[in-house]
Amino acid sequence: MEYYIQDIPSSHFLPIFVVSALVILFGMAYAGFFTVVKLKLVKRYFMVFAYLSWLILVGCIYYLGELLKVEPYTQKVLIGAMFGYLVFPHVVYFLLEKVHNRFESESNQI
Amino acid sequence: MQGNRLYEGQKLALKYFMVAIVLFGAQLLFGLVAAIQFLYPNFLFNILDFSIARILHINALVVWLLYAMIGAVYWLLPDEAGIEVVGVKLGNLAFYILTAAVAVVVLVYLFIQIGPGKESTIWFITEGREYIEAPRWADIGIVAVVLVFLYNVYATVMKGKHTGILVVLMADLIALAGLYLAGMFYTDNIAVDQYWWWWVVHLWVEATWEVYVAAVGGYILIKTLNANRKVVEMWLWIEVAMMFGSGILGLGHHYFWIGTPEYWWEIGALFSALEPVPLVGLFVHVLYDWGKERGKGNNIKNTPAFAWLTVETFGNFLGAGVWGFMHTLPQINLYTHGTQWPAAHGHLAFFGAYVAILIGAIYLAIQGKAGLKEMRMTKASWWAITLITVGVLIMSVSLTISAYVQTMVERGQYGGTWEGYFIAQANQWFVQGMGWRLFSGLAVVVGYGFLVYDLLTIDKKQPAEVREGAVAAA
Amino acid sequence: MENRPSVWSSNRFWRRSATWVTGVASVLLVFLTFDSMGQMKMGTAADIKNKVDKRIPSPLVINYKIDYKLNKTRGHEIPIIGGMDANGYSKYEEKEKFFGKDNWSEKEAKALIHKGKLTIQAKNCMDCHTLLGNGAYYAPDLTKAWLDPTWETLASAYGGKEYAIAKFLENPPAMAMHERKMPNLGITKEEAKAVVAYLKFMSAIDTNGFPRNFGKIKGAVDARK
Repeated sequence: MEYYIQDIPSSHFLPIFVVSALVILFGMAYAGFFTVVKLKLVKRYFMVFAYLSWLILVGCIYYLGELLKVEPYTQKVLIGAMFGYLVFPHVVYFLLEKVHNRFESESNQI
Repeated sequence: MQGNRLYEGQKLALKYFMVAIVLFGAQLLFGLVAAIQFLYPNFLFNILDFSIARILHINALVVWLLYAMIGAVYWLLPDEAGIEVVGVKLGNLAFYILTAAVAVVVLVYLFIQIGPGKESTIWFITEGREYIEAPRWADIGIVAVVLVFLYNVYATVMKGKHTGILVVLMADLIALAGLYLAGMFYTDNIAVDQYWWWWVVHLWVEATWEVYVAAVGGYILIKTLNANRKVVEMWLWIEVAMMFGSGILGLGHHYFWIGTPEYWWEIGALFSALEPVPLVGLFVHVLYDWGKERGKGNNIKNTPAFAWLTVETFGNFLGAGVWGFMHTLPQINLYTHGTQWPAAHGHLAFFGAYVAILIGAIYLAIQGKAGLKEMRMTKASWWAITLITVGVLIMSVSLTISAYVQTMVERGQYGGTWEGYFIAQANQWFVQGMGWRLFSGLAVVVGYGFLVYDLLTIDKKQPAEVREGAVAAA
Repeated sequence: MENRPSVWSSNRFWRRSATWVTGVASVLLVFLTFDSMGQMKMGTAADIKNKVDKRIPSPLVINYKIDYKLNKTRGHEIPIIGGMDANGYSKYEEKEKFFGKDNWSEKEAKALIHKGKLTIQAKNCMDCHTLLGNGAYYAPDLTKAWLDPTWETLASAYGGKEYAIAKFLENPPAMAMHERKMPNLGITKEEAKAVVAYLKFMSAIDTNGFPRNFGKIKGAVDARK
């Protein structure tokens, strides 16, 4: 029987809290490295750290899923979160470029 | 002569800010009482019991944030629309009525405290529902005052300029006010009671207030950094989409265990995973702006306001993002629901998402009132921001330690019984966490002292070159 | 082409997107709320008679024995009203005397619940305790307070646990169990009875298995492999 919620041994509580905090922190690290490299504030090879952060994030989400003994639905949500994190900073950066290029060039012409 | 430059609406804003800061002090005072009682339960026992201290603590918080929010709108409204606030006299009257009503409610909380188990208590003393304890007569009064406020905003925007910031605010404020109605009825069914109660609490703090903050934050960026208005306004819409898109159905994470159907587990889990979306978006955006502006020699026009805005970015990310995600999935929330976890999360998230930016808005108003083109941080500004921010951060970490003990001992080991509850509360680590919480609370109170002092004196403490600039401008 | 700004930097596009996203989310929420409200309606005497499980049962459950047992199908504990059948669901048969009688009429039970809820709000219970896990964290959770082993141990000395809880509520400091004690809130005899009824009723609400492993003292989580 696949239950939505399984018993979690109390010894798993600490890793669950730590790992879920790390998910957000490495998500931020990925977005941060990604943005500063794109802005050419640091050397290009720093992009390695961005994707390294994302890989750690993927590991954390996977481990979190294991610890929580998630069923197929939440598995899909978590997999979605992994790839969502990968794509999202690209999207935001793309939009920022578009918006700034358009409006700031306009204001420069004036 | 200085005051003449201000719109009447902005003078009204200053009144709102003044009451807000006083209530902020009350919030800290009663929070301190409650924190002491966790360690010394006999403190003020039978005089100001924990329940009363806590009501005052959280109600003062909600009310001062609302005051500051209304104040900030009255401040930016004439500036944005380019005309005086329509119906400002009515607005002034509403301000005095609201403040008198708040005073009466506070006095009733303090001195009458509780009533018999009858409808009359719900109408005149307390509704006994966390955050919205205000008795029904006050609810109706609040609605009336808010209607006046909405009229002022709408009428002013209709007559003046329709900037993007104002349009977002107009849409958001009507939702914010309307949601309050969801908390204004009585039912014997406690599950239904809490279902609608969350409409008010969640859809305020995780949806409409967030959008409000985004709009006011945009205004502050334009004022302090000369940010490009078109970029700010367009980006505001993207943020609205992200915040409402993830926040509205994020309501699901409160509907796991209150008698609601199981499908809220799935909805709550999905939207909890989506909640970092606006945070990541904001983070990339802030970095982008910072990177682009660097080296352009763009002077920050109001450093204290900008510093609080920076605290806002990180506080929101830590409080709402990290502390939120730690206990939001239903699988783990089963063991954290009803423990100190939400307390740890709530302290940092309220501070990071709302307190910081509203203090920033108040600094902006101080600058406007003094007519300074530029305003710089003083020593007191620095101490205020440092003590309050570090204090709240330590507070949340301490509460997290207590929360962890509670989850482990009470919920993990003892199956959530009363015996387990008291064993966890007496646990050394739990008590230590509470001790550090009290200590950091004291730091916040000292920081508040610096803040009040700074708000009163910062305009007179500006360096000579800034002051001369003001004279030249006048 | 150069002069036509892309859709990604169009204010209009994003304003519309924001409106649509908000609208769709709101409509979904309203739809789900209608469905939830239907499922969360309080049960009636007919439901008890027909043995229909309701998430929020009829106030008449105060006439029955209430338990909180693991259900194999749902994978978590559910309230068991009036004894458990072979499939792990409520039988609505085993009665239990509540303040001396087990034949409270629907009208009487409703009045009791009504007064109990009003008292719970009038005394600000939620600002120390949690109810269904929501509230302050200064005092124990009341969701399953009726089933708490603490009261089982005190029951015999007071002639039943409803009497013990009511006695406690009327003057809590007199029966204080911890240094962090509940103050005397001037709860009358009638109000105490009503609050106890509410606690019994609340323990029969289906909370999707919250709190987990309730009452399995010592090693609750690890005990069940």
